[in-house]
Amino acid sequence: MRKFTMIVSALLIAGVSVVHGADKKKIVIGLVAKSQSNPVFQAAFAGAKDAAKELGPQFGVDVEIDWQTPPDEDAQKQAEAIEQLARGGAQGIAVSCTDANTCTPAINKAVELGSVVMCFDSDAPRSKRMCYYGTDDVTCGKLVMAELARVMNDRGTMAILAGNQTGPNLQKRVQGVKEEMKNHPNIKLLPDGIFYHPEAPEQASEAVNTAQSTHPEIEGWAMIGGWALFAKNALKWAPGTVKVVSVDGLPAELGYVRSGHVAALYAQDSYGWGHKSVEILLNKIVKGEDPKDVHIIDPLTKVTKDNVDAYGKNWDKWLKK
Amino acid sequence: MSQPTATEPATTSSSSASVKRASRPRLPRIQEAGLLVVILLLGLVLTFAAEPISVRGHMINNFFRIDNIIPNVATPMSWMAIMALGVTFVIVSGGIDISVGSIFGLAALSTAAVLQNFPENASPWVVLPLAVGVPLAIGLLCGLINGALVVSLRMHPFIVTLGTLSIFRGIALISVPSKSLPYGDKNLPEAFTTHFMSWQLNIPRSDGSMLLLQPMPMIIMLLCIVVGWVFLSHTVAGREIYALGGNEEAARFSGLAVGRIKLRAYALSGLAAGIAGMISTGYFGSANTATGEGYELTVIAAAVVGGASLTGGRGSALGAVLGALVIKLIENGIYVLKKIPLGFVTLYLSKEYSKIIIGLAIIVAVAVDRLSEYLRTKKLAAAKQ
Repeated sequence: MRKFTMIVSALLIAGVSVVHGADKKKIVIGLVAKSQSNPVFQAAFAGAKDAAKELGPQFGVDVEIDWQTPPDEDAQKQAEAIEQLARGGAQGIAVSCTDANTCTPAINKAVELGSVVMCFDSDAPRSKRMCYYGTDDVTCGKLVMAELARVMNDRGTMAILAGNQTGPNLQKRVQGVKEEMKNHPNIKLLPDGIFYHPEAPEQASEAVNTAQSTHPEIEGWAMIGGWALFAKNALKWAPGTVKVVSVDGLPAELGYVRSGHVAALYAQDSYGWGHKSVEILLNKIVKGEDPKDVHIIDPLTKVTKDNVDAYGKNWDKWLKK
Repeated sequence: MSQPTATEPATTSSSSASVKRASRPRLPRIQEAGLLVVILLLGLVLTFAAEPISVRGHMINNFFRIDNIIPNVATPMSWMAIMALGVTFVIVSGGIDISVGSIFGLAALSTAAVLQNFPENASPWVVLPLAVGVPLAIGLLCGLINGALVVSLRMHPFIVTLGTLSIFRGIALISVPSKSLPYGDKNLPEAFTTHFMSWQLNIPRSDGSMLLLQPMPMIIMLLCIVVGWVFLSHTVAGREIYALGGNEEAARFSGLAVGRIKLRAYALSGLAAGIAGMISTGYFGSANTATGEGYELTVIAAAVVGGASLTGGRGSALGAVLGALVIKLIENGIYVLKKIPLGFVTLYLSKEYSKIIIGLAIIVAVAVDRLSEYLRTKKLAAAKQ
């Protein structure tokens, strides 16, 4: 029995070696987004897969994308996934943190285990991650607010749809909206007018409509994430009666621009979160090149009625429709 | 409530003394032995079916390696197993506690809220008593509230704990406006995090790399199993819980203080959730208002898969932990397998599949429980004739 135990222990510590003749070096890149139910992360996944196909041959490697995103938002599950990927030999990991506090120790552990880790969309700034690719969130909040002020003719009562309050990126966008509001003194934020909610389309839509029916004085919405617009018929008012400016530019949201419900969208590079992240990670893993900046800022694309169709064609290409 | 069962002689005893006599060390029951077989089979399947992976230039088995089994299975199952142990006390007593996820979250947040006020290098003599005392006290208090409501209002425990699930989560949401702790640039004291709960063991490997393990959650889980096993199987207080769950009326007529025993079961469940919350806060170095959300389903599933009967009277500490291990192995299995070639089609596995498989495991476990109950009743009836 003791001999058996010793053999099992030795195998466990060594791992069971399997000899394989590999022609091309295989690079595994883990992608840990906030939740599978959020379409922006499906776009990121599509981007990562395309990057693996396009950039793999250029770098002379086989790239495998290991999608380890929890079905629903759960910071602990994300932390577990990061550790699992690092211990499973993933050379690179790109993560969008649901809660930076919870993800930070897992990111640090993954770096210690030899993986290159970067953040996209939602940063863990105090971790040992290599870099962050995403929106400058304060600027994003300011842009949304400035556009909303313009379409509201610089007066009226407004509210903010703010998603999950633990997301550090969202806190910064709210901060940006508030900072820009100071430039528009005739626009008032509804008392308790920041509405937080789980980042699922139905729950976001419910939050907007409940708030709007309870507070009919709301004349404008600054949506710092497009969650509510990922659902069909989410806005229960006639187009243009309540002004809306939102972040994100997913296919589902474009219909609201066409119908006139939404004045403008500030589209994040959600496809690029995956594509660009894979490129940055491959540069580091294969060529040893560090990114030029720790913060790589995604320039937001403004989508209005004028360019909505042209912008929509990108999605056909990105999602291979 | 179910009828007294042949496997739990305590349920028909008439005094504390007989309850104590009934308790004796036993080998694992058939259900636990069956679970061990299931775990072994799962392990074998995963070992042989998992694709080899490349780590540090070596191709190794993706499942059967210490780097997977300890940190990816045993460590994250620790807090689940401890909560499953607590819920087992309640299920054995004939009740149910679906508020454990919220108690876990509240205990974790309270611990982080208190400890973030100390400097990172604060003395362990100051930090550790609070780090242990706060979550345990919160957990115990929540458990006592559940128990008191069930006993005093004579309400169905599902309704009571459904209500407290929402209340405890609501308290967490209101108390922490930032929704995540520690706040801002603060860190929890290292005496509780990196020097205790996430203390790291660095074992050098033959290839020069280090094997990094954080064994503390697992050690606490093992301690809890031993304490839970001794309590349930070897103490009067523990056997009284079986007696109550086996037949509440019989227990009452036998002179057992039914209300007090129920209160004890819920208090222990809350305490276990508090311990789990303490581990989670120390291990992750943080807590947020969503911590533990939805965990009640996994925890109850672990207890049920581990052999706890929802009709009361049956269940064990070992079973709860084995149940948690089965569930974690399923989750890990999906990660290591990734795809199953079925010849005519390849099935690609993703995390969503774990929900379906765990759901099936619960149904199978309850079906096996009902079948064994039916066979036992039939055997007893035949013996009487």
